[in-house]
Amino acid sequence: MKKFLSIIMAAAVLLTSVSCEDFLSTNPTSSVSDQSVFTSTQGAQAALSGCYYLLFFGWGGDRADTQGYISHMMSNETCGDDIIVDGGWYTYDYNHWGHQRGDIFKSSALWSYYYDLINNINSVIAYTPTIEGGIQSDKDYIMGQAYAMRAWAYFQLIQTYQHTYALAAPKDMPGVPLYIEPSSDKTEGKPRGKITDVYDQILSDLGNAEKLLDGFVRTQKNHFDLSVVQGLLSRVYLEMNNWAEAARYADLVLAKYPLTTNEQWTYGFNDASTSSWVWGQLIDAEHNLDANGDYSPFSLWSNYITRNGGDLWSFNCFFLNDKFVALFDADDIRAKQFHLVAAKGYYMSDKFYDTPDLTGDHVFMRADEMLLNKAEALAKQSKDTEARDCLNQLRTLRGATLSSKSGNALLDDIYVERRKELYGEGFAWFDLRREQRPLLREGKHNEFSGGKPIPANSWRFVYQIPTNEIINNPNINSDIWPNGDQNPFGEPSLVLE
Amino acid sequence: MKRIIFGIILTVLCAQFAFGQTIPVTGTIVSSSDGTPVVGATVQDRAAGTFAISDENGRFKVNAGEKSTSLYIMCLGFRDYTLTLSSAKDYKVSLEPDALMLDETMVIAYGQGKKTSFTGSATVVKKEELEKISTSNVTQALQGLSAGVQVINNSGQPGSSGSITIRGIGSMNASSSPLYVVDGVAYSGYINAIAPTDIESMTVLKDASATALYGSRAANGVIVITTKKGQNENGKVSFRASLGFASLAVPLPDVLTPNEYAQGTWRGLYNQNIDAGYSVADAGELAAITVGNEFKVHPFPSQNIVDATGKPLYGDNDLLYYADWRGETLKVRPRQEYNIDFSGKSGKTSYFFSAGYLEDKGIFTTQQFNRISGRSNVTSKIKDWLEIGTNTSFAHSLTDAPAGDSVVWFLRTMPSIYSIYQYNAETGTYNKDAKGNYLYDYGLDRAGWSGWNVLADAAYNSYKTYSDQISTRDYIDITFIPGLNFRSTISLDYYITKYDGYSSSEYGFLAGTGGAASKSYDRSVSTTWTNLLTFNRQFGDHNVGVLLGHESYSRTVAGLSAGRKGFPFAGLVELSSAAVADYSTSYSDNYRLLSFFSRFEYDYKDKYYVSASFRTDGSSRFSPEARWGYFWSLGASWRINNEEFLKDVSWIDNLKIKASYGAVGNDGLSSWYCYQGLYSTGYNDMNNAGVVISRLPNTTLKWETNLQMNVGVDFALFRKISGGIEYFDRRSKDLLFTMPMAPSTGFSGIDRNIGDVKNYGIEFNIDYAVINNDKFQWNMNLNATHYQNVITKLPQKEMNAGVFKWMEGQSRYNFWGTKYAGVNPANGNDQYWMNVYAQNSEGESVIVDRILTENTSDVTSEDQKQYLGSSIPDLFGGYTNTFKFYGFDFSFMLYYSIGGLLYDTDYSQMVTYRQGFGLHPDALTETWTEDNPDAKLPRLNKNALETFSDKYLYDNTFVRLRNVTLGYSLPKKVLNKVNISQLRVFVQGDNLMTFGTAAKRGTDPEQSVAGTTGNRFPTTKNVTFGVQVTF
Repeated sequence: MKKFLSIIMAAAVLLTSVSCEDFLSTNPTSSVSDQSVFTSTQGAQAALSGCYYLLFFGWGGDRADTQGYISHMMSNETCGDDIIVDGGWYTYDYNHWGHQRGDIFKSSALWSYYYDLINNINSVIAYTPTIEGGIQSDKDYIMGQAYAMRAWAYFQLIQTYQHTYALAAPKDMPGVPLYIEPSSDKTEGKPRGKITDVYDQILSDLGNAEKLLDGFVRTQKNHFDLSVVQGLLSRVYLEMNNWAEAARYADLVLAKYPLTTNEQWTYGFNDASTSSWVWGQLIDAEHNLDANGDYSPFSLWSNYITRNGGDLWSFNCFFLNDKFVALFDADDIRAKQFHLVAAKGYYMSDKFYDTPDLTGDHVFMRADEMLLNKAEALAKQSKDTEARDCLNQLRTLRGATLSSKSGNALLDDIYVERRKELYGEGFAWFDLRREQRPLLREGKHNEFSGGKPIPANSWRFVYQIPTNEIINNPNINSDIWPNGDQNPFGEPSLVLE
Repeated sequence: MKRIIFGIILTVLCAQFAFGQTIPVTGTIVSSSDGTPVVGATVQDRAAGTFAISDENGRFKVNAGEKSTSLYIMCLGFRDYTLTLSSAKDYKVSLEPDALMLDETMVIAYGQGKKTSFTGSATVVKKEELEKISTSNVTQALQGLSAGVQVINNSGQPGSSGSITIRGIGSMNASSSPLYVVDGVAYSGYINAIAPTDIESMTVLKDASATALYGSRAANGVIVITTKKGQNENGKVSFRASLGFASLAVPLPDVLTPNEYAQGTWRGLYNQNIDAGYSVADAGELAAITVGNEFKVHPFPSQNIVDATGKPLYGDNDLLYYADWRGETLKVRPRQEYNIDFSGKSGKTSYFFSAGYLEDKGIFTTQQFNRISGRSNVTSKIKDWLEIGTNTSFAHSLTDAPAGDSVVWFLRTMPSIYSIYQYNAETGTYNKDAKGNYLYDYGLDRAGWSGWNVLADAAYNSYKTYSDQISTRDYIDITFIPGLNFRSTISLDYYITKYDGYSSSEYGFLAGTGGAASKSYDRSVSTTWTNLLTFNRQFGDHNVGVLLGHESYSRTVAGLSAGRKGFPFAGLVELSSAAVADYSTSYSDNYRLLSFFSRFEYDYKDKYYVSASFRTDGSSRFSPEARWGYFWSLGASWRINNEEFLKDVSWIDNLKIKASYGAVGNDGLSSWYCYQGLYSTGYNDMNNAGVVISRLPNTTLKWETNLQMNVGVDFALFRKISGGIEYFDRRSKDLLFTMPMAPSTGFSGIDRNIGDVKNYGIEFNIDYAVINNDKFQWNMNLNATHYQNVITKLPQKEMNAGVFKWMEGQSRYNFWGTKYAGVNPANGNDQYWMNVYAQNSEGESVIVDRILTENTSDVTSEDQKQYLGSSIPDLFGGYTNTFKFYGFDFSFMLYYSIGGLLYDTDYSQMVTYRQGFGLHPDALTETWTEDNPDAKLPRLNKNALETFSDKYLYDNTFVRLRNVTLGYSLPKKVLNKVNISQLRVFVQGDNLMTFGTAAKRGTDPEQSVAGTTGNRFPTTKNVTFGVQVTF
């Protein structure tokens, strides 16, 4: 008996060792191996869908200011002249406490957001052509969207980390590191290169996208299609001061998308099916900025009392400045949405409000912006009449007094109109930067220390390269430009001459 | 390799040994102090491998080998005794009581060992010491009881674990936590599922000689928990009941009254106005009229709250309301615990059954930890050669703990001006609902903490975690011949954790969307199969012990979670009732280990001991190329007092020197699949499933290896003093390091085996039996540990790690930042030291001077920063005194930690002005004003720019009265009449007093190894009354 028992046990021990390599091979269930993704068009599509996720939500972190593109847009808005942040999210940006500094969270958060996305896009661009079989047009559309997305990402990056093209390109200033191949464990950090390299890449990618997406009919309005690419080209050429191309591409979009009607304007800017929307972020119960809408910009606007009967939660962060509100004519449809908060002298705005189930979409690009791009591009070419027509087309629609200006005064009018039409849509900071205007912060503001006016072309308009990039990238040093790679950060008065 | 080991096992299994005849030897054992019989002593013939146990009269009868010359007699509480056999047939043995417990046996890796002969480093903590602490998680009780073990009890959440590091921090990016072994097998459950009263002892294994048999998981030390067994021939029933009350060991800083808070706010606004260029008079005036607006809502009858110099205009009695947030949320609530066990021995079977109930309600309003637990431990020697045993425990627990970091943050910084309940200023009363209950105020109009009410959340929402756990250890043990045993153990650790989350559909920020529910189930099944072949024999003066083992371990964790929102009406909480799906997800992961191991022990004449062990582990965590790791140790000790030349030195009871060296492993990476290149799933674009890159592959990734050296001396002198001193040196190599990559590559880093770190230090422990007689006993224990942590190799010159900077030659936890230069007495601004650089003759940039600056942007670059000191204490340990006199027992323990820095953001967040957030009392008294120019804190200012400096870095030396116990046992004479063998009543207090600078700031000194705070729910002070009865 004794011997029998022990032999059974010894045999059992032996048996377990026979297949020990099998026993020890385990695999995750919520991840897939990198080699198995690009074996079919479906795999490439899944990788592209992952890119879209990153674009819209970043890594889905638990902060209102790290939720992908929309968070960068809100940062750009709060840095500007028109919105007041009354404590809470984006206070740092609003007060200009140095969020552009390389050792401050924001610089590195934005940097990693765009570059994580670019690395994912690069895999799609590199490996999709290697897939055998499948329908060629499917692969083309995947590639086209990937090119468009990469161009968009680099365009966002270069606007964040360098002065405007018109200022920086003639001085041959540095760009941002360019990666067009997926990174491996051997990839070393790349140098900043030249700003013109970055724009060459953006135009090349948009050119590829324009070709590949011809004929692509998107199923969701959050995807890149030919019109979005044309809209991006209009923006890029505007930045590059190529006025003719900026106006031409704006026209191509305007041919397909009507202006936002007044009814649509007052609907809350929460529906991507709005006919004027070219591109936007779709939200549903499962794909949203926190299940409770906490990280959605809708919850930042202080308008819960007026709009939703107090039912929907708001952080009560965002208000409007009195000088900005004063720019609107009394009959302007857009002015009907302001409510003075007497105690503060700030205004609440009803422009943005969420749907009752917290699934309001977010607008990224609409026809009205294209009209204003076109107006600006025409005015810059001294085509004042045509420019004024564009401007007054919008003013007529909104019920605003028409402009009769020309020259620089007309350009000022167009700029004001951009602010009035597009506030809260992510343009304020990049517009100041592109038009080389100062930040004035006149009228009623809620600035803490540091929120002083910033002169035009101040280095405060430019983020520093994040410290963790400099430490870990052998090809970028911490010396200050023009001696080294880092952007200056100093007093707001430190201006690029 | 594996095949060879199996070959050996099989050969030994099948071998047959021949042995001679035995002859019976009898005798009586008594105590030398009072001549009473010694019950339960083991009488062993080591040469023949036979043994017997003395009965109630101290009588024994053992079958001694024909050729045996001596018997070895051991009994707990007495010194060991060697009985030389003569021609006599009946012997009288008198054993000497052992106040110092020198000859105690202890649980070690895969077996038992004797303290005196052990070549490694280990500390045994017995149930008597554990019982003194009223904790729901036994890891917290370890503090101060073992040299070399740093326990930080940084959470007052009932049921939470202490943070334990043994002999320093051996890892940078992988785990630094020890391995837990319960009843001989590595444990994969919750420690708080084990009722502390079920525990017989805990052994902390500290060096390679002690831990190498645990191989790939042993690098951070091993804590072996052994549960109780039946020991008494006459079955006994023990019952223990206790009732305790908890409060915060270090109270949170006092809350300012509304008037005090108004003064602080005025001061913050005034300083802002001065900065904006106003005159002193205008700045004061303007601040006075804006205070009310700054608050947004407040209990003052008008907006005129303070005058132009910040003096209050209203008396405290004029206020409309006073919000006592702390008083409403933090209350003294009872902790009750009842345990009963029934144990004994009947013939060849010993048994232990226990049941326990615990209700630990903590302090915060809904915080609690409830546990129902039970255990049955039965072993039976059903044949001379066959023993079986089963030890099974279950525990059901509920953790309800919404007092997370943000709640503590809220409680620290919620000013008293914001009402808890909805207050109607027009009517001057609180609003009530239809049933007459107060309505919670979510404070949408508050300037701070807008939209949140922790009391309302606690009342309306649910955050409950239920846990059901079963653990079992079942074995069969075959004795082939005396001394040669085979034991096979099957173990299972199983738990299901269920989370019930619910946000109210009626109140709070989700009321508008009908509330939400989130649920999750997580299940973990771990099975271990252990086979041990042991051989222990004496050959003349030579003692030999051999162990061969095989073990396979498999763990599967799987889970499911989902959330839905939009309940149609109140009272519904389950997912099926809600309208809209939020999310749903599931996972399943596996971790497996296959191991073979052996140990060889040898001693000669009880003087020279050597031991060697070896283990190989195959792990699923690493790629097939790097899967197998090899771990080993060598140890030796020399008991000098057993040498002839010391035989006659009567005052030396024990003198031993020991040394060990070995290699153990650490596989504690964050992921179970670190070597694989992966895309994560679930990153979906609406209805299109999406994947994103999550990690780069690295098939060469392997374990961290920890090379550990230990040398020490153990001593016992004058029958009174015993102790030990040990030096250790742990060198980790192939550290699992997340090597940072340039973020522009799209990766923050890649896991590699790069870098070495060293921990070395000295441990000291002394027990002193000051007085030891029948009437009065006084024992004293002191232990102390000093260690240093040094990074010896890094993949790059320097790495920034938050507030630390890693460089070769520096500690992992050495703070790096700007040097603070105090407050400028002239204007109350912060000042920093700014280095002035110049080129020396060789063209290098060197610091030639340092000057004061108030501008943070002057001092934020790396060349302006410096090392500011480390969080690791210079010395820590415990000091215990135990007294026993006439049935009374009294003991106290002090835990001390000297040196080490704490970066106190819990404090700094309250001494800087932030609109709508509460202030520390120091914000009024210790900040700069014109009248207080030498203040240590700068003037209150609205969000002055800060940079990380040593401004809030404090020496964290502290002493804590960890425990005081007073007990009284009724005299046996009285109890015998009512058939009770023991009855003890006791009162004990934990953490009754805390000394040190942190406590003065309202910060608990026990925060983290890293020396950083984080609004943790601090540890508690407990007073417990109880009774123990044994029948």
